[in-house]
Amino acid sequence: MRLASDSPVAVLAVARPRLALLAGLAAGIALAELLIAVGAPGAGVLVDAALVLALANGVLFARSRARARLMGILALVPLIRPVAMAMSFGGVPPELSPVLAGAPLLAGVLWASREIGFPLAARLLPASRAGARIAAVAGPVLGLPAFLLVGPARPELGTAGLLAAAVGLAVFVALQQELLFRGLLQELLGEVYGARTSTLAALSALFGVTLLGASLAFGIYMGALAMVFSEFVRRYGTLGEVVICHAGVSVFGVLVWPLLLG
Amino acid sequence: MSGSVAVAVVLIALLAELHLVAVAAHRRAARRRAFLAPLLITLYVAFAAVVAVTIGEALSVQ
Repeated sequence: MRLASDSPVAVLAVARPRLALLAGLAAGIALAELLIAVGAPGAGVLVDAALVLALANGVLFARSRARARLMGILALVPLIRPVAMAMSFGGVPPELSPVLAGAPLLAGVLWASREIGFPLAARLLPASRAGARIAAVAGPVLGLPAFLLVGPARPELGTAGLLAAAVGLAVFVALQQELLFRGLLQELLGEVYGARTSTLAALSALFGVTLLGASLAFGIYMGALAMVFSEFVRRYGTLGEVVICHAGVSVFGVLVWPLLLG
Repeated sequence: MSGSVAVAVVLIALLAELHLVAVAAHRRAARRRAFLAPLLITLYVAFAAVVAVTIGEALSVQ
């Protein structure tokens, strides 16, 4: 006999709020990115700030503590662009840009992981040495399309500057984004709504939307890559491999491929 | 006013609003206030970095 909770109506009733929350947030961030891209950065930042405030108020009015906690961490996502824009100083050496843009969010993400008791050290260990090696090889390869889609300028940096920029990209961009999206948000979404494929797809789309400012194709590419990362984390429960792979994509996409091919 | 300073002003306004939300959260249920801590930490670190870099730039000009 078919259970009432398996009926299409019951499934839709559960799916709607889950997808509505993520889709609404993704649409709002896409609007902000569009406004910034067409030369209205002030309006874009205000849209992002409104989303942060809406989610912060959601913490007050959420029906359960788990949902309130999820909204508090989801509110970090529309902060990514305004924080990066506030940190874009002309006089700061370019190799420090990733550190400046990522440090505030990394601080927030680390605080959040402590707050919710996320087992950070255990999750960051790769599942196996072989997996870590494959991730280390896949990162640079997957960084090539990223470079071709965005076409960043050849970095005019010395060896020390390149090393500083590489560490900044690996820690303050790759690690920070993986902890936020594939770590905390995937964990909390799984707790509240269940780790269904549609939830992971919506989370990956949200991640891709935050990168639309670079280019539409890049946002779609990174969204697809995020789905692979999410599926890996769901299957093996560790973040180590995806952090290594993401770091390879960032470092090679922004620094190494432009140096070799730019 | 440069672009980054304008965005920083928006972030400061957001920080002030979030403190109001945090007070309301505390009245509703003390535990919910803690859920806003990551947001506030992020904004405080961003604000501190903007202030530090702005002071650094001003000193280097002098």
